[in-house]
Amino acid sequence: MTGALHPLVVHFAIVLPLVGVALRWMALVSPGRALSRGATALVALGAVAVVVAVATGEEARVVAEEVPGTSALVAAHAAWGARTRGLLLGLAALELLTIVRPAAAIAAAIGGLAVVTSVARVGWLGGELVYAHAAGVGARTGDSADVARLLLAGLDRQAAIDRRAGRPAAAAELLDLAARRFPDEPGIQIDAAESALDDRGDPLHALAVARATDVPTAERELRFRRGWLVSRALAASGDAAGARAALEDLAREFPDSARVRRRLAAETAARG
Amino acid sequence: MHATIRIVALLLMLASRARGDEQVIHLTARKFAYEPSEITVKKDVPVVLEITSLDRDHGFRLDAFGVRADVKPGQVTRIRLVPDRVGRFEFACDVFCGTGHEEMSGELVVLE
Repeated sequence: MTGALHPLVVHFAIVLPLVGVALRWMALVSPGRALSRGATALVALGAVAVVVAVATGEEARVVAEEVPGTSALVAAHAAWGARTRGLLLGLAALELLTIVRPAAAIAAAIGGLAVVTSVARVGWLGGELVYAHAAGVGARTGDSADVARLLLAGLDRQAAIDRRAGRPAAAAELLDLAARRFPDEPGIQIDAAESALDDRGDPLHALAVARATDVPTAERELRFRRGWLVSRALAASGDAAGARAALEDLAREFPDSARVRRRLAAETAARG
Repeated sequence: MHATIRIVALLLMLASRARGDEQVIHLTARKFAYEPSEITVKKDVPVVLEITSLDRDHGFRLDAFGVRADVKPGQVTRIRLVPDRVGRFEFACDVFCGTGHEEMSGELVVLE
């Protein structure tokens, strides 16, 4: 069983038992054969999903453990996965028993609460692994391009955090590294050019990078950023006429932009 | 009793005088606009901007006066500045908030 299926299967292993237990409680409050059978079917399917989730999780485990600082979390996630599997198999047996002995429904409803708690715990731990530690993200398929994208995202996010925390030099350093590693990625080139202007106060370098970056027509947001950056960099380097010309170019490409209109009006007013 | 009222009134008056010259301006931020988008203030009169986000995390960056701050939902971000020169100065969101973020901006107009 391949570990690559784990992220897919776990969603069934979470939703099916939860809805199944909810149906069981609804069937207790408002007795009905359809609700009861529905609960049994969902819990039984949930048990199958959890068995598959635990098996695929074992396969996926090494990839997650490779990420520094995750081994304790992985172990806890695996232990709660195995615990949930045991609980859910027991609950599925109780649910099947309700078909021949309806009185077992009360025990199934109470047992369902333990399953819900266990599913919530294992799901939360899995979420922590993926979203707080990026365990498995980028590395799941073994495709190095996925890892490269993970690196790019990490560098970009950390640079944004550094800048907001008042560490512009650290932000610029990360974006320079990203720009060197990903020369064909226009988004990161523009990020690095903006950083050259805003974090290092180097308008000429910002201008050179922005002008050398080819931004596809479809990337309108990025095209706007590049044009805006060129105008700002020209202004910062003392070329007011060039800055205005760049703004006028931007106004032609983005005629609905209130921001560009406002800047042009302000420049016109400043010139008297 | 009367003495207490007089003391409280005096304290309130002093507090009011302390902030007397300070203009407080409330702004809201939401994808992808500030409201109001144009703020008019007087030169050399201290201003306190109180900014609240109505949806998600935004930023507030006013380069001309070296101001930047995070604007988060459920919190009031207070920025105090003294506009010491006349003109029109752009402020903008510097926390990416989705497609349309680049247009999220406004102007601080400083008059004599």
